[in-house]
Order: sequence, then C-alpha cells, then structure tokens
Amino acid sequence: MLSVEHVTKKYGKVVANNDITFSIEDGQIAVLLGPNGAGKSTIIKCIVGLLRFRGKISVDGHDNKSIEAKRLLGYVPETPAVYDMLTVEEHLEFIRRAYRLEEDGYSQELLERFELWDKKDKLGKSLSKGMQQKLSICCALAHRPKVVVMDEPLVGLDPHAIKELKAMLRELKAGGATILISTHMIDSVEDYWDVTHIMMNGSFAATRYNGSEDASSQSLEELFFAITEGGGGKQ
Amino acid sequence: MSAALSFVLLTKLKNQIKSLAKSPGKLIYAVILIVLLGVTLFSGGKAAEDPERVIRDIRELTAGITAMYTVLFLLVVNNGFNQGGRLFSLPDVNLIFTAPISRQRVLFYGLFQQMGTSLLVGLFILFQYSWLHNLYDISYGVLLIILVGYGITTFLGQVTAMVIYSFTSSGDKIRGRVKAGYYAVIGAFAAYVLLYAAGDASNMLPRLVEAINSLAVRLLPVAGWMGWAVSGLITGKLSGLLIGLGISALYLLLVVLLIIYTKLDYYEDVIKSAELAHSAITAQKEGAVAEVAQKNVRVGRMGIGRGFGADAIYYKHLLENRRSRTLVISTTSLIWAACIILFALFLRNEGIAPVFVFATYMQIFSVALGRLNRELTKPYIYLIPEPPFSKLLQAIREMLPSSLLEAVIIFIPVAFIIKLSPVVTGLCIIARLSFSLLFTGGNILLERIWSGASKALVILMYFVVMVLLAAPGIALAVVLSVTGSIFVSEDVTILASLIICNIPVSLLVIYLCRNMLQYAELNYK
Repeated sequence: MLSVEHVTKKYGKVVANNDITFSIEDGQIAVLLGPNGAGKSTIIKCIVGLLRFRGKISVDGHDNKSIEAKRLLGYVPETPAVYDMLTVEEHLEFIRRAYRLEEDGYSQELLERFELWDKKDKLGKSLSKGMQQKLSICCALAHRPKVVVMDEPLVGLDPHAIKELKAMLRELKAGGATILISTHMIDSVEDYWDVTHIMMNGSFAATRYNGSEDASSQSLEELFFAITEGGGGKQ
Repeated sequence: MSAALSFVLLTKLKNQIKSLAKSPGKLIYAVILIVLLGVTLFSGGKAAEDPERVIRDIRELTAGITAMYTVLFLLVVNNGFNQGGRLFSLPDVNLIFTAPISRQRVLFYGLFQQMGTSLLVGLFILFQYSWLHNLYDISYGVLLIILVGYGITTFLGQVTAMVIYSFTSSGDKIRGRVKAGYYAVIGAFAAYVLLYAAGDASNMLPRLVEAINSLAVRLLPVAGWMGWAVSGLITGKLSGLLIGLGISALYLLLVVLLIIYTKLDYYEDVIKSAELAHSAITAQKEGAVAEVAQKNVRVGRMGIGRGFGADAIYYKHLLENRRSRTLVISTTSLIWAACIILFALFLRNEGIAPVFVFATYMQIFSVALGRLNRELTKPYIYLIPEPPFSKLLQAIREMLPSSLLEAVIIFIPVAFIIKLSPVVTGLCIIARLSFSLLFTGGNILLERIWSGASKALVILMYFVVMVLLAAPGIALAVVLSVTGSIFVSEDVTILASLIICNIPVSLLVIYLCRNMLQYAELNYK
C-alpha cells in the first residue's frame, strides 16, 4: 500500500506540488493524468525518495526513505536511466547484487518478455531510446517490487512492448502489487485503471474511481478535457 | 548571410545577455569572473614590482604557445575522423538545414558561430596573466593576441575536422588511410622535436624550446602557422606575423572553396557531431557527467562478478572503468599528469611549491569527473535498499587507488626534475591523496546542500567550498612558516600541515553528509 499525506514540494518560490493527499491499496492501479508541468513527475520523485518534500509518504507502513521501503519500491523514471558502460544483462546483475537477490532466472524472463534477451551483451550506450526504456522497466521490476511507480513508461515503446507491459501490469495487480502510473497516453490505461487522479497546477483537480457512476458516464479522455480545458475545479 | 541567419545569431546573443539579468546565479558567476580577472591583473602587476624578479627567455613562451596550439589543433582534428566538426547545433540541423537557405550561406553561418565559440572557450587564457606577466614580462595585449590565436586555431581545426570527416566518412578504408597519413605527419614532427631535444641531455629544455621555435615546426599546418604569427607579433618579427597569418588565411580560403566547389554535402556529415554535442549538453543540463566519448568500446569479460549489497556499486565502477579504458587511472588524468610534469620542467628551479599548487588546482577539476558525480545522476544509488553511508563509501571507494596511482605518476618524475628528497616526495603523494579526499568531501557537501540549485550557482559554490575546506591546512602552513616553527624543512612543514588538516576535515565532511543518499535531491528536475 502507498500512502501520501499532505505532501508539498517547492522549487524556490515555485510550488510544484501543493498539499497532495492520496493512497493506493494493494492490487490497485492508480493513474496520474495532467497537462505538462502539472507536477506529476515531481510527486512521483517525492514518492520514490528522490526529492525532499514536506509531508509524509509511506510504503506498506514504512517511511518512503527507509531501507525497508526502498526494498519494496520499483521505479521507472521519465527518461530511461541506463549506464553507458554496462551491458543489458549486467544492468540486471547489478540490480540483483545491489538488492541482495539470488539468481533465479527472473531477470532472463523479463528480458525475454521485452525482447531484450538477444541484446543482452549490448552496452547501454548502444541501445536505442526505446530499448533503453525497456531496460529501465526490466531494472525496475527485477527485484519483484510490491509498489511499482512508473513515470511515462510507454514513451518510446514498440507495440509489442506496450502489450507486454500492459500484461505485466495486470499480472502485478493480480499478485497484489500497488501500482502508480503517470501518463499522457490516456487510451493506454482506459482498460485497466482503478483510480485516476487528474492534476492541474500542482494539485489534484479531480479523482475518479473505475466503476463509479460518474466514471461510467464519461471516458477518461472526456473527463480529462472537461477538467483541463473546461476550467473544472476540484471535483 | 541571410536575414534569417543573422536574426538567429543576434537573437541568441541578445537572449544570452538577457538571461544573465534574469538568473542571479549566472550574474554572480559573471561578476566573480570579472573580479577574478581584475585580481589576476592586479596581482600580476604587484608581483612584477619584486626587485628580485628574473625574467625568463621569451622563446620559452613562444614555444609554449605553439605547443598549446598544436595539442589543441590535433585534438580537434582527431575528432574529425570520428564525428566531424562541431560547427552546428542540433536546432541548426533541424531548423536551418531544412529551411530554403543555400548551403553556402548556412556554412558561413556555422563558421561565424564557431568563431565566437572558439574565442569564448579560450577565455581561460586571460586568467593566466599573473604568472605569465611575472615570468615573461608580457602585457595584457599580448595575452589577448594569444587568445585570438587560440580562437583561430580552434576555428580552423573545426573546419579541417569537418572537411576530413566529409571526405573520409564514406568508408573505413579511406578513413584508415587518411588517418595513417595524418599520424605519420604528426609522428615525423614529434620525432624531429624529441630527437633534437634529446641531442644534448644536459640542455634538453633549451633544445626543446629551440626545436619548437624552428622553421620545421612552423610549417606544421595551422598550429605551426598560428604559432609563427603570434610569436612574430610578440617578438616584434613582422615577417613571422605576416607569413603565419597569410598562410592561415589562404588555407581557410582553400578549404571553403573546396567545400563550395566540390559541392560537398556536408549536412549529413555534421549531423552526427551535432547529435553528440546535443546529448552532451542535455546530459550536462541534467547534471550528468558524460562518459568519455568512445566510438568503439571493448566490452571484454562479461559480468560484474562480485559484490552484494552496497559494494555492488564499487564493483560496477571497476567494470565501467575497465570499459572506459581507465584501468586504474583515466586518459584525462594521464594528460593532466603530463601537463603538471611539463610545468615542473619549466619551473624546475622554483621548488615544489608552484608545481604542487598547480597540480592541486588541476585536481579540483579531475575529482569532479569521478564516478561519484556520474552515479548521482542516475536514480539507482538512491533506490538501492542499503544504508546511505555504506552506499556513499562504496561510491567513492574507487577514487582512492586511482588517486594514489595518479599522485605517484605525477610526483616521482617531478621529484627527479626538481630534485626532491624522498621524504618530500612521499609527503607530496600523501598530500595529493589528502586533497583527493578533501575535494571528494567537497563534492559530497555540494550535492548535500545545493543539489537542487542552478548549475551556475553550483559551479560558483564549487570553488568557494573547495577553498573553504582547504583553508585550515593552508592557514596552519602559513602560521607555521610565518612564526618560523619549521619542522625538518619548510617543504616538509607545509606539506605535513596540509595532510594533518585535510584528512580530518574531509572525513568529518563525509561523515556529516552520511545520509546524503537518503535525503538529497536527485540532481535533475
């Protein structure tokens, strides 16, 4: 479970996140939508412990900056984070070693699912942007995290990888993982979201639960444009 | 040049100046640079008032200038074999190359733009006034001439790189042949200079200077010609100035005509360098330190192989170093070590102090290129579920053996050149190691406190922090020297003072920042 309580993040005088509170239950997929500059990436970086903030964030009851929380977290950054001088397979080896995990073939399974196994000996620097993104996803999932946070995970992915990632998310959800995804590709999450938060100017402008009455009458896309273009306030 | 291209050039310049006013960090940085320039001017003038000052042979300076231009030109042209010249940025490629503007006009736009960049890059020369004025009695005007020569050499180097790339990018075979010819010419010049200098072992330095100032080296394309021109101006030999400038101008004309009349399709050839430069700039904006640009990396043995938990970071660094061809010490460090040894050769009668100060000054930059700073730009080190102090120690662990080896590589030859005692040599090595630790501590402190701040402010604070951390050691050394509390010798006292203060200060800083990886902000937004 992920819990965010009254989180405020400022860059100098600019308020990137203003008093944000929400939680995501086990086995739930939450989606963050919002225009550019709404503060989605900032709240995600706060959650995974990359930024300082005011407020409280806990991962399965542990403070998000504690070692216990880090063990449970998996993070896909908005720009692929790969090491130039490590091969694809060595990235997974590094994660395994750093997280003190024994080799059980899961890394290979991930690489195969994302069609990277035949590129396992290629250096990070020689990968295309899309392949770097796939590798970033594999690194984030290699330690079987209980809470998965993804910032624009679909950018640069080919159709096979998109399909595989969606399947992966469903499996993680079925396995009880907590998932938070920030995305601009609204249609890509239409078929598996549980809760959607629409962000505007650093705050939540609306929250919708899948299956609720108001969500059934409007698609996510319609809701998004109604909020972001229709001057919709807090809903 | 077309109106659109002039508009782009002028608007970029205007906006850069305007951004100074909008960003206090940049403005402070600019003001401090100007103040430092003033201090350099003032201190140079003050030092020149010393009645015991000995003016050195100006031919040493002209040889040094030619050598500097040569290294610069070779580095830029060497780049041409792999990437081409860096005349254009990625926005130029995307917006100007696709616009209905003739290739010739676009080429002149690129050349004009490059000229400005070349001069800006050489600005560091202006900060060398103090010691150059003190040693060679040169005026500020001469320094400006050296800067202009530097700018022209870089500019012509870029143009040459672009042409070489355009003509050789079609195949590995032709590139290999041109490269072999190029290295053969360079090798011939280098062999001439070294053999001439080695001809009289007791007079190596004067003979080295003589060889570099000789007509043969003056014929070396671009670097030799520009060295000839600038030396001619400094020594009042008008013929040298005119010949050097004349050949360079003719060369530029020929190269431009070659590009225009062979209808060289240079667009494709500059795209690669533009993309590389763009990714380097983006990486820099995001706080990343780019890996040494290498076209072909020898992957070698696979796997990290060792480490469990935080020490996986250390073993990963070892693997990355091996792939970057920096077995223990990087190529950049070797080049800097060579510069320091050369510096010692020129100042061999001045004792260890100026060489050590110069080496330490260079060290401030080399420490910043360490793996720690690169690691901090990726999220993994923050995410790994290990104690932050342990991750921090493992992230700086690879620095110690490389720093030790670097110190040995520098100070053993320096000891022979300056004739240092074994004790002083050993202390120099330990003192350099202590500065490595101190500057690493400074880097960590900066990340802990100012990681989210603007780049201009971080660069500014970088120097301030390094000076503050080194202050206790320097203060102790000064106090002991002034009060006459000398132990064994003045050199031993000074070096020991630095070591005694640097090590505890750096350990304290690292300990106080032990939770940096838990609370610091990832260095990009």
